[in-house]
Amino acid sequence: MWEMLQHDFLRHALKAAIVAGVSLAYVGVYVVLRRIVFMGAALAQLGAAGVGLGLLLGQPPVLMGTIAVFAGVAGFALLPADERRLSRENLLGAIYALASALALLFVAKSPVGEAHISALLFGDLLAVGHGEMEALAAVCFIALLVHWLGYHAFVAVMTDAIFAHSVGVKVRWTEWAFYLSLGILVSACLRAIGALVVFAFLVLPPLAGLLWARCLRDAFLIAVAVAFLSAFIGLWLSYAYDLPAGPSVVTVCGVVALLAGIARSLCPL
Amino acid sequence: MNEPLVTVTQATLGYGRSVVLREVNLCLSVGEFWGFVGPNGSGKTTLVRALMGLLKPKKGQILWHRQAPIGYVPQREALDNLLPLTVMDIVLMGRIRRSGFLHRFSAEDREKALEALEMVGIADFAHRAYRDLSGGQKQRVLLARALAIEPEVLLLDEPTNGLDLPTEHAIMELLRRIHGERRVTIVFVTHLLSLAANAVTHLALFHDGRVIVGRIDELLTEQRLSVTYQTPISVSELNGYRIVMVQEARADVGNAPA
Repeated sequence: MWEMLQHDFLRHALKAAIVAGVSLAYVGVYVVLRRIVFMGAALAQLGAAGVGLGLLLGQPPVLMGTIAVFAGVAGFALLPADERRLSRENLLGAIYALASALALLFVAKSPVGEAHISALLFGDLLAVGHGEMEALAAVCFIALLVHWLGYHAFVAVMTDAIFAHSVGVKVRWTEWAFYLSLGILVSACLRAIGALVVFAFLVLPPLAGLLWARCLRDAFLIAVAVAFLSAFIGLWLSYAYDLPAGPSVVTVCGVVALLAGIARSLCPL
Repeated sequence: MNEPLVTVTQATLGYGRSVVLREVNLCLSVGEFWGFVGPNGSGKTTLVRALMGLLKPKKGQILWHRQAPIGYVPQREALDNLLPLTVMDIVLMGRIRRSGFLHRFSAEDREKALEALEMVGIADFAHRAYRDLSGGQKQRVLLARALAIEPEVLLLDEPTNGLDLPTEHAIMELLRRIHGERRVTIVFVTHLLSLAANAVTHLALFHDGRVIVGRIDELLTEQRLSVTYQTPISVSELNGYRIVMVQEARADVGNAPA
């Protein structure tokens, strides 16, 4: 298992998967608890569509992807709270479907062609360079720092926004900080690990954590541990059995979440 | 006369283009116990939100005479059962304003949270998961969270909805005790006039986009209520407990088979 770490590119890939996975899993606990799982998927696909548009127009793909993600974050934060006519979940589902289709269309018609589709969806973990790794780590550090500093405000607003307002929490600013940190994370991780893996890390480790946690702190710890282990085991399986890296990591994540669910149903607390 | 806390003058309230309440005039003073009573959708919660500063009046004004900490108590369903929070986690949220930079809780914050839990009689549940509690226990936790603020005003939005009769009675007794011991101004929102009639000192009756306010002894008369609701209403007493009901309903009870 350890011999894969002798290769520079695999060490970088492992670091990138662990840094991105741990950060996304942490923020993903909020995503699952706020019942906005579709938002993770929609943002990831918006980023992919932005990358595709960049390839088509000959513009920097990462920049275009980032712009698309931030546009999505701003649109979501500005959405009116009135859900009588259209729920946010329905709208996110529609954005997800449209962005996925646009991503594939843009890439298919771009000069570089369909060779990029796989990298767009599953990322190119094995191609992550040292500089890219450092940039990813810096962005993840900033996003997690925001979450550490604003922990109680984030939890209070997620639990009961009206009460949070009554005790002086700036609800709108807290919401913006949350969605921006999510947008920054998704757009930074997208290039390295791809839309599918970003979405998987946002949802599967937090699910495992929430199934077993007795308190919020435990949910964060379990989610982060599951992401860490999935990144490590997934990459090792990819190396040992010559499998694509991204899907291997997602599969391990999924299996761990499934096992957590089965174990939880067999041993109720 | 008690010191006024907040005055609402000729306020028109609503969302977007729709108007929910017109020309509301109201003055809440220190130590009063108000009942905001009206059917669902009559604008009770709208006025509570406006008092909390979440909703600006379209016309008129809401003037707080000084800063008074508000303890807001929602219905227990306001908190998602998915949240893996302990009772203490939730009550500590009431200390956020006093927890200083970065909202880190001190030993004093924890002590105050525990005191609030003791006040509502569930200190033993501090480390239990909120989602595992019964409806009445959850409502007490939310009340403790509001008390942890050390509030001057308690705004309770239908806290007894869906509770069984003994639990509803216990919550009302608790509110009376808090009102007596702490001299907190209480606003109790309910759609049950009989429930409010036995606890509050002042009433705000919500009907047809208007709010009629006054002392309980002024408003709780058959004549005033019948005019307000445009239907014959009876007010009676049984063992010192006020009962308010539509007269047809009383006739039905009288004609019920033995």
